[in-house]
Amino acid sequence: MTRAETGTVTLARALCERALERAGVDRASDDFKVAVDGATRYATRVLASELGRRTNDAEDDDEGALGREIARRVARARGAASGTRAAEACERLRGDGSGLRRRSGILRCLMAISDDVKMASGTLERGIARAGGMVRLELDAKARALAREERARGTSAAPRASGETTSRALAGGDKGAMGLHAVGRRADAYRALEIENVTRGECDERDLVRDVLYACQGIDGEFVKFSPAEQAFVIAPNVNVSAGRRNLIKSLTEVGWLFKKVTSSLGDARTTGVDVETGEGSTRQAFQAAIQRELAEYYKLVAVLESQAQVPIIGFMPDGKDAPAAKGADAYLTLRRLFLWLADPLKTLRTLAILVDATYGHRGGAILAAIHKYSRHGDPSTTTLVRRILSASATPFLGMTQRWTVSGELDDPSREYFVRVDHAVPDKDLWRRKYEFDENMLPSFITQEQGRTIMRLGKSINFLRRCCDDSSWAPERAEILNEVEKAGGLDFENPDALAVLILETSKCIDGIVRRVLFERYKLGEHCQALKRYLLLGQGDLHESLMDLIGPSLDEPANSLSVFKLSGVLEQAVRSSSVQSDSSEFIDRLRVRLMPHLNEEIGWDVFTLEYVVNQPLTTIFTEHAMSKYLRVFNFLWRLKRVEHTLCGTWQMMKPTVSHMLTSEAAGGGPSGATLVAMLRDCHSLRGEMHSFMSNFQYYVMVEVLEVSWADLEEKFAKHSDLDEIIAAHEIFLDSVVQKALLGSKSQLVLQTLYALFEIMMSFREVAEGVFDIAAKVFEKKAATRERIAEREKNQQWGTYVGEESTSTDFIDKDELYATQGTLSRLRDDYSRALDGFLNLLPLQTHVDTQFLLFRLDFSDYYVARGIGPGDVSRRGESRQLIGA
Amino acid sequence: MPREIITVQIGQCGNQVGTEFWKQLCIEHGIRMDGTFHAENVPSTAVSDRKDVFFYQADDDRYVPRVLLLDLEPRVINSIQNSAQRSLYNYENFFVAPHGGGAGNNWANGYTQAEAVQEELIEMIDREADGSDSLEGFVLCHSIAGGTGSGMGSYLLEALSDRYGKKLLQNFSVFPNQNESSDVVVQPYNSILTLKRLANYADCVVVLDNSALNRIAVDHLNITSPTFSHTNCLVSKVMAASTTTLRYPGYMNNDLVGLIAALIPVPRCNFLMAGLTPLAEDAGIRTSATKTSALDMMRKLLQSKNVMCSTYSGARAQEGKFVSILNIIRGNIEPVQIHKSLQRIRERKLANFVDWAPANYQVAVVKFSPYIPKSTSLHGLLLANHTSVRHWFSRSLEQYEKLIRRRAFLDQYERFDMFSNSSEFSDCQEAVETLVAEYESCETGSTDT
Repeated sequence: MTRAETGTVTLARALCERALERAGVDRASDDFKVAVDGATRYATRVLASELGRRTNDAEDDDEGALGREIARRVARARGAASGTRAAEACERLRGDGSGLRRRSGILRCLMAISDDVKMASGTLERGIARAGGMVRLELDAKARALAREERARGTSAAPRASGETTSRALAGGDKGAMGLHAVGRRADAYRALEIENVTRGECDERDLVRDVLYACQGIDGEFVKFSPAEQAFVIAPNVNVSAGRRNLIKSLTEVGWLFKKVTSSLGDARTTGVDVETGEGSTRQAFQAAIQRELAEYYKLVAVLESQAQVPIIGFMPDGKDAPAAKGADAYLTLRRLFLWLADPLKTLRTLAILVDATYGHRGGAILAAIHKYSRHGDPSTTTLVRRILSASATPFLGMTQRWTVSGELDDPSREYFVRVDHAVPDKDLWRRKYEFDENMLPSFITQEQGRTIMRLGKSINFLRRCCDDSSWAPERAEILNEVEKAGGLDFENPDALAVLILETSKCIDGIVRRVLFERYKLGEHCQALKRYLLLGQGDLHESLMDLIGPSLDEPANSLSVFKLSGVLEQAVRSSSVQSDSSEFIDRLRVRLMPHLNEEIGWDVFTLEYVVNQPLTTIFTEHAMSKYLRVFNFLWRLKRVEHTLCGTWQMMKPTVSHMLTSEAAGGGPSGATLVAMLRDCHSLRGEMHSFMSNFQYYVMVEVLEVSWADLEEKFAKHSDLDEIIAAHEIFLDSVVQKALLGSKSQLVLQTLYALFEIMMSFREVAEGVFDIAAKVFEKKAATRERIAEREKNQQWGTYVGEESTSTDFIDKDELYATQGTLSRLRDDYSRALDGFLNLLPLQTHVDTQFLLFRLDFSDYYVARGIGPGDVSRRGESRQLIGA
Repeated sequence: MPREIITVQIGQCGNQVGTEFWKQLCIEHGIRMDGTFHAENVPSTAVSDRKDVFFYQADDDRYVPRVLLLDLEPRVINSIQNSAQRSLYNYENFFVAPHGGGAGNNWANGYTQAEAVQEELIEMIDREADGSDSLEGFVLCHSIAGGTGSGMGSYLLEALSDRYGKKLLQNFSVFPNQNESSDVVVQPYNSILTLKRLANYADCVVVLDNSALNRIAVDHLNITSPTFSHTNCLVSKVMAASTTTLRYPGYMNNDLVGLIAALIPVPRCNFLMAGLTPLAEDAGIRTSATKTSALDMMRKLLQSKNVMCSTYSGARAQEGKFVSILNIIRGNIEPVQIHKSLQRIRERKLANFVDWAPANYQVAVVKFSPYIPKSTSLHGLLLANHTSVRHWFSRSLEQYEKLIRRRAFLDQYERFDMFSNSSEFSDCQEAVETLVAEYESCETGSTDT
């Protein structure tokens, strides 16, 4: 410890003793010694700390004003009486002619100390010291110096305070408040080395200090210059500098390099930031401004250091002896002192440089995301710095968020926001395509989910405004802003406000969207209409239509006219139960003919479609409608097959069959064949019908109704449009999948269509069989009539050579040809059914167990080796066990 | 096209059943007894019923049932004409035989009387048929024991089959109680004579066995000595329930052809049984304190006590097999429940199917009528083609043979011209025997085709 230092400590101790004595502590007591020790320790630490630095600032301060400020603070903290005493003391200090210089500096220091203690005791508010646990200041005019003591908590508060204060050396450029090295013995060693260097005729340290300070401002000095090649400040090669200093300078100039880096990024940005086209944007501007603010501190420090480098430091000795400037370089700002001075800014600059690097080339939200990454640093001081910058930089971004969320306005010329607008997209695609979510622009302090919600909210507002002509939203806006204000306003440091904004707005806006869609645009009813018209929910309409339109659809496709068919549709609508439907819905149902090839007939190209308008096209997109059409065509085909089978049944219904069978029977072998064929027709038709009923039941109930119930439940539950759209899409997809229309079911669908083809062709064959029977019936009836006629005329009923039995009435060729066709058809059917039943369990993406067991409820096919047989049973028993 | 259905009510039983049937239909469609439509408290969107299948709208917008009320004696018809329903019907559609003496429980009498007034009857039918766009068929409602329902019914069946051969003919036929000696001694004759017509000229016959109806009335409705009005009420319920899918169209089973075609795969087996649950609802008896599930419902429908045909629960019923089953369930029921119920029924083999064709077990679910407030409990109807029905025919044949062997009461029939050439009875006997054989072959084995 230097003499000066020892002196300072002695002086501080003396002052503390005196102060404590005056405060009424018994000098003889043990407490006294402990108190003095504590106070002295604190005092020396304060003197050695950065706080003292403030004495250098703003030397021209008005001494009187400072005094009054102190008096005011004391008055507030300790009552009016103490305030008055403090003011008195200040006055005395002013009027003192003892030659104390830099009195304003001293006062400033005092204030700083009081601030410091406040920080130490954990109160973050700037402003007024609280009464408890505060340092009480006493001014002792005669001592020509400051004295401070802690009375109430002198022993406890001081060490705590000192613990928080960085005990960095302070080279006070003031004789009043002198500097004190805490570096200890190492400092001595340095000094020795320094003296040695000077004697060797090295470069003068003062020059080096000056150069380093230049470097700190990014300017080349005489010896220390920036080398673009090395990206660092280097000492000119011809300069003689000792290794130690070189190292020191090297580490010191890092500050300069960092500074250069930070400012260069600012410089670049400043020139381009104004330019809209390159799109630096408001977030970058805010970021730069924040950096600038941080740098301001640094500029001040450098300015002070520069001024100190000019003036020799005059040591202040407690014993009153002047320490002359005879110690050479020691009297000036040394490199080592500089090192200590710059330690803090170095850290700050490093952080800033990291941020500058991290945000390089980024815009808007991405900048914030990059900064936010560093805000979780383990070092609290770094965290504070980063958060401060982040908070400042986020302001424009959050402002945008608020405007977007609450009014749906997005003013983002530099594309900084995570919601992107494509103005080229027309309003009908507003919901799906106009706005895009840019994940890169989403700052990480806003979660993905929040981001999506925010996007949805603004989108909803625009959707309401532009697609639904709805502006009922305006009144709630102020309320929400109020809520947000109540929550503290949008700020990075206040995530709750953002949550409130999102929550309140979504509660409100989603409700409006829902109301507008469901009540004004009748979404639910349209879905219902689609289900009833296109998904055959109102079966009688389609039965009527099939009855009426069937004959036209047998015609070649190119001979059909949509106009005529529309008329038929109209007729079908009138004759079915949908006639009572509101024209708002039923009028949307139209006939459409698909593009067709020459050989196609009406059945191949006919379809119904349901026309929806904006804004419902957002849900019922063209893609969705094409799925509806696909399902409709499938169901229509099912219906047609069933219709045909029913028609066939009617052609050969019990009364007819009975009549024909009884006539055909007893006609020898060919009569028996005919009877067997009639029977065959019935059983085959029954089998087909059974298949169709079960398959239709599966599609209509297991697929459509189940998915529909799911959709209705979701519609009732979901509030926002995205979810509603998703629910509808899930509904459609599940219908398409489960109805075996999906891409994975191509093969099984083909076998199914093959089955349908066979069923359709069955009618003709059955008609052939029944035609033969009918001919027999007619001929027999004619014969009977003839016989009756002849008998009436007293003639023989039958002449030789005339046909009399049914065997004679049957055209054998026709009979056996038809029999062949029938049995071929039967074989085809069995084969196709086998194929279908075998493929069905392979549709692993759909649960086909139910369909399988319905199709073969009594193991009829299993017994005949058609279909997967045991496989399905095993699968089913597994399922049952599972259930 | 509405696919209209014309109902023809014949005789005392037919008209009594019909009265209840129309009452029920009116309630379900929000139509008052004077034919005016009222839909208060009913959200218009919820309604998509089809009234025009069974009703047409007169010029004054009143709904008028498509029904012909025929009888050979005026008693029942008169009581209808004096009831609250009188203004519901088209007065032109009532027919009472001019002398009003009835058929005296004689099939031949009824048949001959009908034949005598055929022109008038046909004219009524034609008029009604002309009033519909796309007539689907006729539903005949009668009993086969007495004279009018059986005789006149048989004649009409023949006439309709001849004239409207392409249309469907469905019969709701009340079969007499075979276990008790009836006051109608010639009942076996009447039955056999009618059965032949039902087998040959009807596309579908729903058998409603009076002995089963009586048993249900005693067991479930707590009526010690049920009258015809009680049992007829049950019949009308079956009629109403079996047409719900036509009146409240959904995805499937929206036309009569579809319904019947699935149930009757082979032409000779055109006799269906019916079952109902819950049975006791109207009697004000709480049937159960628990919530009825789909499984309960479907299981109950397969239980003999709910099926309205005595042979289903008879001695040899175990041998019987289902050719087809249709369940019409009314109420809000989840498809998954049906799914599970069917699985369970299959697993426990509650329904035995014939083994010569794939089982046809259909379930149709219909929503509640919006016009009936607070309808919550499930209602189920079973229509089934079950081979045990043949025992009824066999029994009928036995009783017939007992009579014919003694040539008892034959004189009453031979008074009429059509029996002068007496092959009529043996023809009928043969027809019924064929019917029995047909069902037996269905039951015992593969028809192997």
